[in-house]
Amino acid sequence: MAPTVMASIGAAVSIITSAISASYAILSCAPALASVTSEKPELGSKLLIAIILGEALAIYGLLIAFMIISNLPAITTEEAGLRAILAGITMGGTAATASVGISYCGPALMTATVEKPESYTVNILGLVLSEALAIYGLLIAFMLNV
Amino acid sequence: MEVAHSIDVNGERASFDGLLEEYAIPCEVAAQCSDILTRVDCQLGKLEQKPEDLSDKPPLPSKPTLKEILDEVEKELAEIEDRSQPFIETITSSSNLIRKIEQTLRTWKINPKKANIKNASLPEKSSQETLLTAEQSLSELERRFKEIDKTATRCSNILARISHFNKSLKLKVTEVPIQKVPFPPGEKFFTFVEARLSEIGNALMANKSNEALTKELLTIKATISHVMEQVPEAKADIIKQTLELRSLVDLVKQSIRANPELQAIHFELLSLREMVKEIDELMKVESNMGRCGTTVFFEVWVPKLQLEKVVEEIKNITQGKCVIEEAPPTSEDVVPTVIKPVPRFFEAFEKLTFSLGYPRPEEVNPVLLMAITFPFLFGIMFADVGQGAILLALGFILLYFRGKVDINKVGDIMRYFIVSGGLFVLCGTSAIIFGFLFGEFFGPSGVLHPILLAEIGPFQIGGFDPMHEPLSMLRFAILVGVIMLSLGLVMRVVNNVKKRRPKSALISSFWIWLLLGGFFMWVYWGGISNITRWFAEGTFMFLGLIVTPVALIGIVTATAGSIMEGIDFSIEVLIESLDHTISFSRLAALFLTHTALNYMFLIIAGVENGVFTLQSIPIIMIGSILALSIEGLVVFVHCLRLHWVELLPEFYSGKGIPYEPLKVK
Repeated sequence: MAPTVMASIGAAVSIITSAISASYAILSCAPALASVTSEKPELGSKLLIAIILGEALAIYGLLIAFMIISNLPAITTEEAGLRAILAGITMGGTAATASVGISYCGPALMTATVEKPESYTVNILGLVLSEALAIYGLLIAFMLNV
Repeated sequence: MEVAHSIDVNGERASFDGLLEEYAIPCEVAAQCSDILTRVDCQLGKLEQKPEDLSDKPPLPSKPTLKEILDEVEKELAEIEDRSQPFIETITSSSNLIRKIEQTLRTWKINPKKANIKNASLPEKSSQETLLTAEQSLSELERRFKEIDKTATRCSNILARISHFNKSLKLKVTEVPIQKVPFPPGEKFFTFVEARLSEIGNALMANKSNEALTKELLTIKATISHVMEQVPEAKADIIKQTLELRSLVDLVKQSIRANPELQAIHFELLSLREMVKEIDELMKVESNMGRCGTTVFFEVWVPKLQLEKVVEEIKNITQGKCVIEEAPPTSEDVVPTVIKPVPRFFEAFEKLTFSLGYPRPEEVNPVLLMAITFPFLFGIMFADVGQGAILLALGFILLYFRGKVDINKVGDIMRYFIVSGGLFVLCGTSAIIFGFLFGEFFGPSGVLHPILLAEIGPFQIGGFDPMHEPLSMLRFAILVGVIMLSLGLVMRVVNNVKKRRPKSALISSFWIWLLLGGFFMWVYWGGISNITRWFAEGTFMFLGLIVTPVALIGIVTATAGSIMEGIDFSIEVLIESLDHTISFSRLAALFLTHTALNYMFLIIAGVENGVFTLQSIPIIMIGSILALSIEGLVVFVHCLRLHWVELLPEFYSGKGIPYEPLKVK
């Protein structure tokens, strides 16, 4: 397979998987937020963080896909192509894992916060730690590609 | 049983009764209060005035108890009610008249709201008389309208009959003179015409060509048609008169309203209303106090600085008949925190910090610290001279609006924006500074060259292009993370000293030692891959920088509590600090995201070597809007997260309760 084709596959994997992950995270957090804000609208701005962190996954995927595509002229060897594919897979995979975490922790955080707003600081840990997984993947994917 | 009971307490009975009566007073007073409020509102409603709030509060009459004040107010209200009686009558009758007129207009199929005629002159009569005449003329108008209606029906009936003749007899239509009839023609006229018409009809049936009769028939037709033509005009005239009548009544009503005495009554009612509301508030406060007979008991938190003033004030009010006990908080008390207000410029940071929780009394309020660190971290992730300048300008605009707009009257989202003017200004400034360090102007456009600020060991502060040297950026992010976490630990030491917990302060300072020591080891021996050399060549350094603080932490923790707990705590914190340091690598990742997003638009727009062509500007604008909105939001959330999860919990519990002074609105 030509190295550029491999790199393109990597870009596609990165953006598609990240977009699906972001969509899944938002899909589970947004309805929970909607029901929370119908009861306590003042918590909305505080809990919006779950949706934004979910959405950020797509931006990371976009970043890696874009980096690969802008690097295409430099990808001439099979090794570089493989690295591009790996970067895409790393980004997509970590985004997917982060998405699973967010989509479980986000709604739980919201329901807990409605009952006890003071539990927010502890419960947000689950959310941000799952999100950190995607950041780690993003860093590694970036280094693979440079 | 009952007998025994009453005998038992018989000796004390008189005093108990008194107590019960005293206790019953508050309930009665509360009922009286709401009763008066209803009466005032009702009176205002009758006078057709709106119950609005007065801007300056009237002083309460000086009476010893609320009950007596309320009695006074009630007396005043009764007097006002008497005085306002005549006004109420005229206002009610005029409103009724207006309603009636509008009802009539509606039955005439006219929308009273759309039709409007202004009648400027007010008659010289008294308002009652005017209203009376107006009512009479209204019934007169109604009668006339009905008559005209009737006329119209009869006319059309007659015309129908004549046309019937016309059809059956096939008469020739010729010009005939019109007989003049007064309008509206009376009942007699119609009876005459109808009778005559029947005669003519019969005669014509018998003799088909009687010219005189035909002529008469035509004359009748022409006359009736003429009458018919006058109907709409007459109707319009009546409607116009009715509308004039309405505006007249309106004018009368307004003149009554403008009456100075009524205005005075209105004002008095409003001030009574204010008074009663104030009494209501006072009673709400009183309901929180213990009460027994004529004695009141209450317990309050008072800030230390204002203690003397409060005590003096209470003594003044009670004329010395009081017992005040000052007690410092015990260890079981949850002491509320007096939160000092910050300048309006920093209010967004206050909101962000207090979203996490309020400080405990002995903790440093981290709002101002956050006002430094938040823009700092934001600037690293959003480093860009151009977009930073946009943020800065936006911040100034928002600050300008902050002074102009009442924030309680704007929408939710708008309020968030207006409040965060200061945040925008600081974040924008920080973004501009870091934009110069990393050479970013609307992305890596090549306009600016990275400026090297300093070089500490392997760390470069600025002076490299992060797109092509992501590892340098990563190192920079970790350096920032270590600085931030040390700052958090320093704050922890400060807080522990303030809380008088020397052991905890000691542990926290060992943590700084360990954190910086570990970091130094990592840097000195060139990363984690050379960890074997830590133990070979760097044994002494390892002992000094890692082992000693860990041992010290272990020892101090163990003496503080049980050993197992101490070990638990240490391992937890060790893992946490490692994790938190690595977590700061998101600074690099998000900066790269930002610059890559902008780079994408630069490529699309065809910007090369810092030359922005005219065609590229719209695309750059779209990219900047995208970066400022979506990407800016992500950066903002990550900034917040770094504070809420990594930095603030190092020293900030957020479990305080804000001190809210007792207030009577």
